[in-house]
Amino acid sequence: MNEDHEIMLPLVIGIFIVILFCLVMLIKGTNSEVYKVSVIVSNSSSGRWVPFKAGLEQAANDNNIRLDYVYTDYIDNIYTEASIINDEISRGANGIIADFCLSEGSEDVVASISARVPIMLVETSVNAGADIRGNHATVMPDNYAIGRAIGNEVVIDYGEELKGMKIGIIAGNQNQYAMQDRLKGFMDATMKINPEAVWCISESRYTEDELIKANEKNPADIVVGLDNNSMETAVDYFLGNRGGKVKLYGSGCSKKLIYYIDAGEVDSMIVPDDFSMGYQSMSDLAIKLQNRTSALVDREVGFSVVNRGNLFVGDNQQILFPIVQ
Amino acid sequence: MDDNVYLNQTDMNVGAPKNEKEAMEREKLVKASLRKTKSVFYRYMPHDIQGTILLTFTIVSFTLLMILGIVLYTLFARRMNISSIETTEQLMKQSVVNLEDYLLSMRRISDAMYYDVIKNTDIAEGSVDNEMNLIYEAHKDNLVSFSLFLNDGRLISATPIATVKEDLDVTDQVWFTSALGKMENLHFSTPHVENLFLDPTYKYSWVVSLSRAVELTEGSNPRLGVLLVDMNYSTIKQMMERINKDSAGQYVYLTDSSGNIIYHPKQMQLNYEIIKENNINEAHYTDGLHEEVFHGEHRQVIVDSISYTGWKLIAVLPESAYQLDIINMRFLVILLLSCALLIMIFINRIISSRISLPLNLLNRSIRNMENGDMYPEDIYVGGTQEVEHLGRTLRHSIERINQLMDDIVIKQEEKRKSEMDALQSQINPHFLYNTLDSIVWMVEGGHNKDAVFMVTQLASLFRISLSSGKNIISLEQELRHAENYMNIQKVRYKNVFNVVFDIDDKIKSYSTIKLIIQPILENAIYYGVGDMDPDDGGEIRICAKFVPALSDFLTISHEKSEGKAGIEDVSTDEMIPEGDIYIDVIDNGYGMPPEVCDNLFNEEYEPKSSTVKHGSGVGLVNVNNRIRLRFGEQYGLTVESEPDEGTKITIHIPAIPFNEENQKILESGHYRTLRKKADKEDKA
Repeated sequence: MNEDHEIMLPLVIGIFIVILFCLVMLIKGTNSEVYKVSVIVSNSSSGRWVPFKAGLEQAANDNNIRLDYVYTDYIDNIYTEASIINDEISRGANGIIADFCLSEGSEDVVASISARVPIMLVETSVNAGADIRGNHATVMPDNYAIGRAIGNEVVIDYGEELKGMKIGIIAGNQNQYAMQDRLKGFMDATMKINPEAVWCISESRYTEDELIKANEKNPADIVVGLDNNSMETAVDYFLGNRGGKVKLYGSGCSKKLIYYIDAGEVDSMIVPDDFSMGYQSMSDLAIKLQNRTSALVDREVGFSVVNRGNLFVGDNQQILFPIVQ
Repeated sequence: MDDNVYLNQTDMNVGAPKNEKEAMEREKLVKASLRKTKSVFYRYMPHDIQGTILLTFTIVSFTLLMILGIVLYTLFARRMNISSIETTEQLMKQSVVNLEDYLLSMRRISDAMYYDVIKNTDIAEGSVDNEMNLIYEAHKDNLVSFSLFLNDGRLISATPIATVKEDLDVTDQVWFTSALGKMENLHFSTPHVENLFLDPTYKYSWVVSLSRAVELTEGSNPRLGVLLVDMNYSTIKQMMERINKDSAGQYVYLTDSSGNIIYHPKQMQLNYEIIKENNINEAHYTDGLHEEVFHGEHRQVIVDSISYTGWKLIAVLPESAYQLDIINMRFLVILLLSCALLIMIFINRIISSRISLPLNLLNRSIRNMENGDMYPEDIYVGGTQEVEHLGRTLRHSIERINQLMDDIVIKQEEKRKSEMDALQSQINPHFLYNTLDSIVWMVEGGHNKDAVFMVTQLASLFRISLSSGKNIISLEQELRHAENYMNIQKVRYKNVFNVVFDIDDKIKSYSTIKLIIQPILENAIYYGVGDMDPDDGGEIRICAKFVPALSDFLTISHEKSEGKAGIEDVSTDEMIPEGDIYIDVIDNGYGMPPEVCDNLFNEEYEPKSSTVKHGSGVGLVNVNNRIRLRFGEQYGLTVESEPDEGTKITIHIPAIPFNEENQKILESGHYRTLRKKADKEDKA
């Protein structure tokens, strides 16, 4: 009888363990946990975020992530943005994707958030402390290169004629490193010919008023918008026949701006690959959430130069008019 | 060359024993590991019948369940695969019908516009705008725009009315060239963003262009033109999204005849080359089910063609699509098998227990029998017919053995009895002659009182000797018999020695074989103190005592130390106390030399200086044999003697309370039965 127990007891225990394991696997299932990621960008319903949002949605779908694209107004205060992010975390967000409105002095905010959940910054880099755990990273285009590309477009169009021309710059949110880099890139690209930059305004709630004031005071021949908002402000003002005949250059991706290229009002524009920015940031964050030991790493997305001639050609068609599933 | 050959041969010769040695060592290792495996196997294999049955049944059950599980799993997996393919095929058929309906309706719109409006209109005089607008309004959910161009690219009419792009040149657009390239056909383009009109609301629509060459009438001149119907791509997209909704891993996409993707659920990822699709090859597959390996993944592809357009609806069922269901099914099958196996183990256990229990009980009975318990009633008889038969046979055998053993005891007893009778017949005449001679002498000398005493003692002696023919009497009677005997002998020997009885009263209630003290006393007189001078102070001392067994002795000692009575409590009439009785017969006579003392119970020994025997001469041997035959080898007589110092003979018998039952059992020679009975009572 004892021998019988000696053989059968481990076997019975083993079978019980197998039964329990199978039950747990059948009840719990082999599906991985669904994580929630909140996306906080300034003025979330703006047309400039359409390709970015399409990228986010595709990546969320591919990685089984619940996307919470937070509706926001114009954000120009880092504390307001931090407050929205904290609210999202307290509502159960496992990860955050955010476009910070302030690059310098945001170390504490980043540290505070990344200590709780991984955060992926988009559009611009920020000043953040050392990240041992790999809990934050940035996905953005090469902003200096974008700035240079805008400058190159101006230089190509005007050549030496540029020397006597007045340039007005709507420089986006200069609290962001991204816009600072673009401005620097643009200035470096046009440095050789050295046109006269008659005014340079930074983005705020009152950009349009400042633009009117600056241009009335010192009208520009060429106006450069370094980001989508700046470009749209310029388009609204100058193509509404209020600002006279000026040439517009800049960067953006909204359909409104594409329309003006299509209509021949804007000669060329630099279009950052916002779809990739959205897709990449969400994918990386999903990997981080599914494997906590992995580290988020900085990534760079591309950009393209579009003009009326190549607007509907091949890849540009896909980038400019993403098919939203 | 020769040297090399020689060296090689030498090397080979040197190598051969090494190899042989290695081979032997390897063989040894293999044998050792085999032995170890065998010992482990033997160690864990059950050695009892229940374990063997249980293990065998369990292995058989497990094997059968495994086969059943594998068969079920294979069948289910195949059925699941077939079912999934059938479902997808049905879905595909339905989708193809829907798409064909949609595209047919678009063709009909185009036909209606062409045959009912354009063919009946002279564009030099009239316009088709109204009719075009009417048709557009009727189908505007599925249409983005309607337009008619001349073959030089000039726009004749379009709806909804919108601003045509400046410098628009449609002649290099694909839909235009296709229409004029094959004028007899209707041409469906791949999806593209409409590039004809400017919408001030910044709307850019993805469209699929349906274009055809049309014949126009301009005055009296026929002209060639192109009719373009820009179908809303979102209609096709929605149809396809519905198909792909809730699909677990599998998906359906749409290509043109060349494999250019019209719709794919992950179109953006494909455009950005995040994922890859085998669309170019799959579009060239014939309709039906195909299997392929794409990027290392095995997958099944179902292809169906959309009539007229040459479009292909392709369903992809990657192996991973079934993976979740397959994994869940595996867990389910393992769970069911484990539960079944567990139940089987319990059932097998009950069955094996039912089969082995009677055998185990019978085996236990045999083990008890081996330990000496020869009680037939304790042998298990039951279980299956075969086991019951075995039990019954064994019981009969034991009964027979017991009977034979009893017969042996009875025969032994008869032998002892005959010896006893012989002894008694030896004692009686000689002793009677001497005693009667003494009585005669007393009567003649006028010692009537002494003569009366002698006669009384003699009468008592014979009464006890007879004891109604019983061999077992109480120690009290035996001691009285000894006393009678000594009283007679003292008279006969004219009181040349003293007799002292030092008897523990408690032992008087125990049993003994009769006439075991008297022969020793007789020897003590004849060889010890009988021939001594009255002044030498000859003495015979008879001491009798009870000695408890070691366990009882310890109990008694303990109780004594606590101030309780010891032996009284132990020796009751109802049971045999664990103890012995020692009766010492000590004389201070001439004693014996060691060689005589050592050979006292050797019947073949003849002493060198043979003394004239006054008594029977066989008394001690007889007494010793009787005690040992009756009670066992551990009992009997022991002799201690020193020449000129004296002799001490100790009678050792078990302490058995004297009562009728014990007397009866002992009379029949069944001291062992009595002992077992006592043991059983102790255990109980």
